[in-house]
Amino acid sequence: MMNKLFIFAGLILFTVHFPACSDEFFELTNPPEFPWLTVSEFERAAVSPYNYSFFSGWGGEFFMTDRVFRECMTDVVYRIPGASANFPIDVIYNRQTDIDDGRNQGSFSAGYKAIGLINTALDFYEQYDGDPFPDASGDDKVHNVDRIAGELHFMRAFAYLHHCYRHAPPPGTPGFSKEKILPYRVSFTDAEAATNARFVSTDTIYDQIERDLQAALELLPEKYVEGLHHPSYAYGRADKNTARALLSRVYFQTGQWELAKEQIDALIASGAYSLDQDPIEAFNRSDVSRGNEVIWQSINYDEAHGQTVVPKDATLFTFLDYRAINGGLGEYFRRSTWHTYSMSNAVAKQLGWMDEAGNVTPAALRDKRYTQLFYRLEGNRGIVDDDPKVYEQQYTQVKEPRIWGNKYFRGPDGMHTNVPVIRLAELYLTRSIIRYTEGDLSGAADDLNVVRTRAWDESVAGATYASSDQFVTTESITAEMIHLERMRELAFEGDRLTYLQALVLPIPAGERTNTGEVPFPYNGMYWTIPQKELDFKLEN
Amino acid sequence: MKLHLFQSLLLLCLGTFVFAQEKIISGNVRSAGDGEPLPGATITLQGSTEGTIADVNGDFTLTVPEGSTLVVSFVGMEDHRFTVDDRMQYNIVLNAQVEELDELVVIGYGTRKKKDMVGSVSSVTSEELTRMPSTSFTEAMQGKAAGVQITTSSGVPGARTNVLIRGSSSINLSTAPLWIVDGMPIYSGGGLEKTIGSTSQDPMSLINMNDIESIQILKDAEATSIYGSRGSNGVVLVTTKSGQAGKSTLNVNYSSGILRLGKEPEEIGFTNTLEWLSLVDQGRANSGLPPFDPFDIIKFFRDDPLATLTREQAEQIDVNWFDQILRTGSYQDVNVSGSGGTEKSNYFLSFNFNDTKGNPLKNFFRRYSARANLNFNPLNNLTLGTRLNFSYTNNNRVQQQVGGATGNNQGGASAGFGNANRIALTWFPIYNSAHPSGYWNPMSGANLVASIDDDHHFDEVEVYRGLGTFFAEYQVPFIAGLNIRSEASIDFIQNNSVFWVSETLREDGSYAFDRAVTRTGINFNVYGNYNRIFAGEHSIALTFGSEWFMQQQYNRDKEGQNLTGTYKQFGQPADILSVYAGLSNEEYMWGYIGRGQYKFRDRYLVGFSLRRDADSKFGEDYRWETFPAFSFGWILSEENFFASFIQVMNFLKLRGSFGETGNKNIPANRFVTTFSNDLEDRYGEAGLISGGTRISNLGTPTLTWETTNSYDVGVDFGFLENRIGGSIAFYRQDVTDLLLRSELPPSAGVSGIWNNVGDMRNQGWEISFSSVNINNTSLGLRWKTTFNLTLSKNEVLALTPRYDQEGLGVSKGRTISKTGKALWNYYICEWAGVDPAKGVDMIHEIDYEHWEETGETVKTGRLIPATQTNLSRNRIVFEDKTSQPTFFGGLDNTLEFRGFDLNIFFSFTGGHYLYDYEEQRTTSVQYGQVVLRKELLTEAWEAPGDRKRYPRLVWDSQYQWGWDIDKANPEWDGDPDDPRATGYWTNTGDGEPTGVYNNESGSYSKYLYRGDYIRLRTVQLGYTFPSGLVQRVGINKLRLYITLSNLWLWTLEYEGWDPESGGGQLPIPRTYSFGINLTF
Repeated sequence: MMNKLFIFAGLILFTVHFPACSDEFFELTNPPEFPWLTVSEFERAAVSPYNYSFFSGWGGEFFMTDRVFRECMTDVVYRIPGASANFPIDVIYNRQTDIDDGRNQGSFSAGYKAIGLINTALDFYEQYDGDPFPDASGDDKVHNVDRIAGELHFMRAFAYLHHCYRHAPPPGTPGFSKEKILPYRVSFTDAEAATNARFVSTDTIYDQIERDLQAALELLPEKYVEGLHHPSYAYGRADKNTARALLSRVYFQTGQWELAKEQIDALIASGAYSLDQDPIEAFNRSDVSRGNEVIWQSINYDEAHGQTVVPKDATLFTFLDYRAINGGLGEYFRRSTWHTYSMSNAVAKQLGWMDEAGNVTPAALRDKRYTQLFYRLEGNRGIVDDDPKVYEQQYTQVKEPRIWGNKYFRGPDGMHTNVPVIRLAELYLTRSIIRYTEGDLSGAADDLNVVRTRAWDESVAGATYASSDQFVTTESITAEMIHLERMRELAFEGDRLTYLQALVLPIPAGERTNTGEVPFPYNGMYWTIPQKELDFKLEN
Repeated sequence: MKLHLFQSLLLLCLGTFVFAQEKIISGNVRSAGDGEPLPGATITLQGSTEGTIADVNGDFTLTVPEGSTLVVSFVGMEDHRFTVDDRMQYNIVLNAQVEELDELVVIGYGTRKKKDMVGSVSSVTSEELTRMPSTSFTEAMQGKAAGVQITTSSGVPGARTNVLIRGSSSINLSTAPLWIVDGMPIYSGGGLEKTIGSTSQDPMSLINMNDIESIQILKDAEATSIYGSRGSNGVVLVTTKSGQAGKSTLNVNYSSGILRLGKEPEEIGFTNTLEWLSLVDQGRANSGLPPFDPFDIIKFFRDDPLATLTREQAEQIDVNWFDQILRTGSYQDVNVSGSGGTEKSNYFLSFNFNDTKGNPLKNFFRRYSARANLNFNPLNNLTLGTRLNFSYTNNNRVQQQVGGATGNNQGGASAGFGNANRIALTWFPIYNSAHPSGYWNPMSGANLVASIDDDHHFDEVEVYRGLGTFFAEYQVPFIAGLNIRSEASIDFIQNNSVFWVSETLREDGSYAFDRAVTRTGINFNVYGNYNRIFAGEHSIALTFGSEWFMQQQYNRDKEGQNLTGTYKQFGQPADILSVYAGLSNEEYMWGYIGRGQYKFRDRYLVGFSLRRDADSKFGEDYRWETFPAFSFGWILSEENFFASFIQVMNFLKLRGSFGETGNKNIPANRFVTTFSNDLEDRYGEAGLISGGTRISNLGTPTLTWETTNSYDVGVDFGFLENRIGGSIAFYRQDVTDLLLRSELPPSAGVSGIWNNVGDMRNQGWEISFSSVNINNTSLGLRWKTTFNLTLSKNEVLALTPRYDQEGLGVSKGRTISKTGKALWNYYICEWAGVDPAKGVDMIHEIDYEHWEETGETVKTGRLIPATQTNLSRNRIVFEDKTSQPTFFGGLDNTLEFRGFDLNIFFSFTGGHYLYDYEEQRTTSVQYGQVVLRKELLTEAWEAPGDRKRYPRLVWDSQYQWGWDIDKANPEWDGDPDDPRATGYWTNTGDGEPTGVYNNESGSYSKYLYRGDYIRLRTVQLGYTFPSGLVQRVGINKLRLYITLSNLWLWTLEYEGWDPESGGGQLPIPRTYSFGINLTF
């Protein structure tokens, strides 16, 4: 009997322990791996925030969607009645900022995804006191590891700045330092922190933006150097001048104009950019090149990326279809079918590009920006066979002439045209208004003239700009001149709203009939935080 | 059964018997159900052990005293008694036993007499399964077993079915049960093939239902805790057929039929062209716009050349897109199987071919399946066996997904039935001679004919699946009752899918996605079973052992565009969009098994089981867990005091159990933060940078098992010699440490996180009855009814403190789960009709500030318009309306009369609500881009005073009447606590719109319907030819039958396509088929 019991027990042990279990059994063949094991792999952390910022086709990024939103809330645009698109066109135009719109939700989410990834990478960088790859070469550490950290700081600033543009009261407004309005995340998060965002007032975010851009200035190189930097850094990425340019925007926005001017001065002094090309040259690149004035551009030329990443929201406020080729005009004529916002005729008249009767003016015809970056269509005449390149045929209800923005999809391969993010002309105009405000009328006029000279078409005007009566002098310059020049230069680039806010100027209604101008402090001019975020908001 | 056979053999060995005043009689014993002979049936003289057994043909010869009473017995059949008279020949027909309490039921790692079962187990037989023509046996299980809820996701052949046992016992996305086929845990999830707008294929469709002998569904902890960490959602044990000693048979089954659309488009009610134009014109006129110009939509298309159309031309076109892309489907199923055996071995071999052409044109599903089940006894105490199954399916798919915006380059990705419901307008032409392809705007996704043209579209998935189990069982000779068994199993799936479209359907040029997935699951166990009876009244059964399981998946993806050549394959494209190859979904699991049952005097049962599991899905410190269970049973009908009831109630058993099980149905590596570095997330050329980093999972190091504490009490009973039988059980499942991928705020930068979120309770009743209503052997009439009903109710007991403190819940789509409430209550606005004066949709306002503070949704009593803003701010938790059915079941009637048999089977589900988004999208003019329903012609608001279901038709959802949440309310009574102090109508008075009512994403209860339905699942009429007739031509059995499935559907409220598949999915088809069963 005992023998049987022993045998029984032995069999039980055999079944239970054959084969024996060990910790090795649970080891995965491919366990989760840290994403950046080498400096080269760390480069993938650097590029991801750009991808979040610029790519994803219809919405889902924040750069182009924000541009459309911001521009179309201003007086610059006019919403074509009856035009429709699967886009919150009226919500934007009517400034119904309390609407929790899906496009804004997408931008909000994309921005914070970029920030989350950046925080992870910067935590990694800082965890090792800036030396996360001790075995890397000294050159690699300086030119790539530190440079990547600089880009990460830069892109975090860029993402937060867009969040402020979109969702926060602008600097100087009463709510700027009071309303705890934006989630503030500067470190990679664990589960608890992920659920409980700390909301802060906008001034705290702006302080962070400034710190990040200062850090970027420290870490970023002057420019890409072949052989030193990772080859992908050559195109569309931030360098020291890009950081200067963005920092100047921030200083300008926050009223720190002297600091803004310092950054612009340094950038211009670097000599890396110039206004020596026609305006179109900044907007017609669907390859690795850039226009001479382009300080930073989002690169869309990568055809293998397909059309899913190109910024299609631009079709809402630009003339060309995103599939246009060779500039989309003439024999390649291809108009956007989603086109909903033209330039306001009131603004066109302000700019001197349309007379009171609606006719094109000589001033327009001699302005290269007008002739190269805008497109005028005469009103629909009710004639079916009218030339659609000349007369409005898409919207038969549009009887008056309209000027359309034409700054996107202009490259040989339309959809893969790079998009300028910051151009030199903007900085000249910023410095011009700063100088003007400071009483440096000569400097202001000089800056303004640099921009106007580039735009001047001598062959049409029949005289040089300097010899024309349009040349600005210390005596003739006014603030309004600078404001209008900025619209001519930067219309449909999402600049107008923040510019007016920086100058504490009212935002005109444009051609809107259901609302008036919106003065400082711009109540209702920033968009509600997505409800999905507010669902998690703790009182703090 | 073994004992029975032993007795039979013993009788056979005795050879001949001698009786006084003997008479030699002969006869034949057959089954009443299928008319098959019953070899081995025993014919004994009542009151003695003398007799004989029937041979392989069911024939017997016996010398017996005249006037004696003989008892004919066979396993699973009711005994038949007859008196020997002056006849020499007796043809005996045995009926199947209504309840065979000695029947062995397959349980985890063993078998047990049904009488001794104290766990909650339901069974589905082979006969019940094969009655329903289907590509997947899981679909055929619907309504057959108490506690088992099955829904089919689509009417497309091979579509996935969702199986829930005893309702949702988890907030986890996957509540799928564990499937064990012949001891092998198999993969039942989806996601293996690349699916771009088409319906994914259920891997269970690779299993031939004709091979299945029986299915046992283990439901309570007593039954499932032996599976430990995998048992929370129930366990389904599938046993395939085996050969029998001395009985060689060849079965040939063929069935064929047609598949009609489950519901016709006319029953939904879509407008024709002129009706559509009239509604759109009305909307535009109401918005101050001229009549509709077709170019308003055509301009969104992307084709080159873009075909234009005048209004006059459009009015002349009326395309019924459903007719263009749908057809009457068909299927044929051929199944050949052979089985037989000797004392030392037996076999079962089968081959199956199924060819189903679905309702969508060009869509077909083909399956080839072969099986070999072999058992050998090379030694007296040793049995070796194998279960080998190899299947191959070829699934040619068409797109089903509804597209987004009109013309958004959807030609290759979304088309078919989904777009016929919404995007393809009746005035869109099919053909355009000016287009190189001959089609009208084929890139749009709205030309459904172009999208399924073989020259431009190809979407195929081929799946190879090998299921193999090898086992050895050794009867330990020197310890009676002890056997050791070991099983090694493999589940191998090779899934190859190719999606290809030509440049005609896609703006960026031709495109292909090629995915090959190799998924392997290996399971190995060693366990012992010890069964002994001591002193005649102490019975014990012990099980002990260990098991390990590992699975992994290897993916190879290739995506490219601008392909070279004309082959429908990836080839060598000009642009490689993405390439990936790698290992994923690794999992390693180890478990120790222990179970014991003690029975005293054949009436008192107590049991326990213990499983200790470890799994690589959790961190080292949280990897191991123990899952115990305890059970009891009391067979009252064996007690002496029950003797007076025994004539009426012949069986009564009380049973109960308590135990723990686990759930770990989460992806691997969720306890650590993980990242991806995908090529598509790059910035810069692929040649310069290989990808961009993204956070794919935010890790939770403390992640651990979700634990279910199950309580189960029940009573099993039998009346009138078990002619009426059944059981009633109450169950409760308290789930703790709920595993859930809960949402995070968007600012987290990660969309969700896995965590052990909270607790919930799931409880209900299961009732099942069966009765033999008529059993008249002289007339050959037998009527049997079975009925099962499950009542299910659940409640979330706790979420995380953060969620509970803020009153937040866990949301999923339009539903939310909150503490104190049922799972997945609808969380949408409450519709309050159309304002008769203004013609806009109205909803109930909630106290928004109160909601922000507490998370409670309390109505203010005011009705406000359903503007986009109001729809996002005024959602209400509908506590009485969930998406989860609260009852379901089935009613099955079988009538047998002589050779005829008739089966009528109903299944039903109810207590839940369905949101009809298709109605929402097609009852608003919006931008004139969607199909519209006829109901708008009469039910749209037109003038003040109208009381209609739908608001005034306007263009672009822009209404003159808006709502400003900050505007002072002139009707406010001055009460500072009244939340209605602000918020009021806006209206400029000049007709300019001030309100945006675009409700594509907003949801309100207008479209919420009770989901209750009853479906006449199958009606089958069969006729079995007299055996004497067919045996003349060498056939043992010949049965012909016709089957009608899904013939009738009743819904309480829902008027969409199908309450089961829901939304714009292809409804489950009606099938009309005939078949033939041949046995040789």
